[in-house]
Amino acid sequence: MRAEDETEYVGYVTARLPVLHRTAYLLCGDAHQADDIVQTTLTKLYRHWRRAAGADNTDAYVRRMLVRTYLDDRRGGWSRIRLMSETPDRPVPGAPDIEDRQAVRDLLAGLPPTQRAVLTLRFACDLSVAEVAHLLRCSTGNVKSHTSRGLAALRRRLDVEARTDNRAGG
Amino acid sequence: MTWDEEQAGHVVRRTLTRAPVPPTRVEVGAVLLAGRRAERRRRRLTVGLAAMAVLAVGLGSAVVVGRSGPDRGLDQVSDRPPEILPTPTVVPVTVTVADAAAPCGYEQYTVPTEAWFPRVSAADPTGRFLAGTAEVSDKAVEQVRSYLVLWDRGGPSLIDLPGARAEVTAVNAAGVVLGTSRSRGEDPRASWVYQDGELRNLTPPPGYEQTLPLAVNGRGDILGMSSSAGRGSAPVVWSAGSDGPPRMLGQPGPGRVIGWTDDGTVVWFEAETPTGGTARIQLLGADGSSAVLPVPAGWSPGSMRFEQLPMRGDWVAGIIPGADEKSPPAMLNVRTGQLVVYHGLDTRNHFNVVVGPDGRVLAGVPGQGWKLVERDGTARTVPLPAGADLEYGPQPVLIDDAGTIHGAVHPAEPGSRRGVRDVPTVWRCR
Repeated sequence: MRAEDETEYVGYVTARLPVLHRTAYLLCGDAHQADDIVQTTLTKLYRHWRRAAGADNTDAYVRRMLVRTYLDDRRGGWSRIRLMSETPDRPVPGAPDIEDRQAVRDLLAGLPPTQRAVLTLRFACDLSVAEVAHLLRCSTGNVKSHTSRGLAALRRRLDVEARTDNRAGG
Repeated sequence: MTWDEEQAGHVVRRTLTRAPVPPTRVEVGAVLLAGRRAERRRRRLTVGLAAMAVLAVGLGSAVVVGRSGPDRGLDQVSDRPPEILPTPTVVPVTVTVADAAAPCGYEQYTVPTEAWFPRVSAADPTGRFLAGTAEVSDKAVEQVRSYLVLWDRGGPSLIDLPGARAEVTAVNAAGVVLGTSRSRGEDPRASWVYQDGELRNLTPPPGYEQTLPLAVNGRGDILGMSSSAGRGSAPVVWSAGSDGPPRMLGQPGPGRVIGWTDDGTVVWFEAETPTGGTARIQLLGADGSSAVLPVPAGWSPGSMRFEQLPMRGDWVAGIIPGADEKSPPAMLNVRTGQLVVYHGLDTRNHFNVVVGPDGRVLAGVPGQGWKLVERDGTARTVPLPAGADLEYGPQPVLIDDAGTIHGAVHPAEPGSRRGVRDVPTVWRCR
């Protein structure tokens, strides 16, 4: 990569790192996995920077890379498990706002990766159905279907929680 | 509770957008190293495959290792590398404060009675127009109204503005005024242009929520910045009279517009990055050319307000922030590549600096008023009306082409809120 391209790349990554990390975290619900997704995405981006920088919408291009990385990661299976000589560091114990983070994990936990990706892109990234379809390379009908099923699953879960709360409250 | 998709979507949106996200451990430097390693691996693989192809087919490997044919060279034409200019030379100047006041007489403009607390924020380079805003509480409708206050050769007029909070960012010699408004504190700012008695909004580029108009040239072209949450900013230009979105002058990134030269060159500043990236200025020519001017370590461009471009003529106003509060004004000439540092004045890390097109400097020294500093370092105190607040006034916004200073003065009124009430003032200097 030419020096000026690399400078441009570093500038872009520096500016976008927080928003990419946020999107990755909402997609997977785990801070460490989100870091891995972002790191992999940005490493790929380095190799394809000229193409990404020349795209009509560089952010959309990079977001698509990030989502594909997340989905590939979920589908990876055993081939992607790394055997290491030492036990990796354990996550740091919970911070004070752990309950809020837990709420995000609880809300989307258990949803299939594609449904989770669709809900995150539509409601956290505020993308339209058409944009999500383009991003995930599927039809708009498919996106609507995943949205509907994802929200239905959440509705069932929240209804159950509401009933449980009502009983607990007497 | 009845459920439908809209309601469920609302719950998801609310939860996801409010959710705090733990800090990332990804470091840009580590990403860069990983990217370089991946690139080296890919090259080795490509070379290996090319060698195998040569052995197998016996034909040249030019197709594999490099482009050929009619497309060759297109990159060079469409993607010209920027010219790298030499690092500016630092010219230290020792300031001598003269006993005599600066040879300037001042005149204060009248303020319409409806505009109780005007804020003066722009003047045109010829000195004809001075512009600001005023907010007035309208008890009849229990709302705050905003006015554009435009002084034409000293005579004020009031123009209704939409929104409760408005700011003027620039005015040109034809009285075309730029500004922003927002209805409430948290709303995004709408950008507008006032021209020939009409107010119209400026259309942002697709995908960008925020725009900030910064300068308008004599033809009516408008320079600004557009940004989106987390995406950075990019310079944009709305052609004169256009109602459509602006032309973008590059990819968004970390940086800001600091000037617009008479020949249409946009001056873009990128600060040092935590990852070791050095500060630089990009000169984006109207013909598509570009040049990079390295910035001397420690220098930072700026003026009193973010929206106020610190550049006049070839000079960019700034300071050298100091850890020990010794922060001298320092002016960069982008044409000669000289950084003139005025030692002996301390701005206390405030961007209280305004530069004129001839390189003369106005530097605010907290508690001591403002000094007019000549190129040789002679500094003279700018005379102020009786009762002016030394700490907060005057507030210069521009030195015009004739050397006249345009701005405002804050009277030091006991019990009043400091920094709220501007009295528009011009200083005509010999």
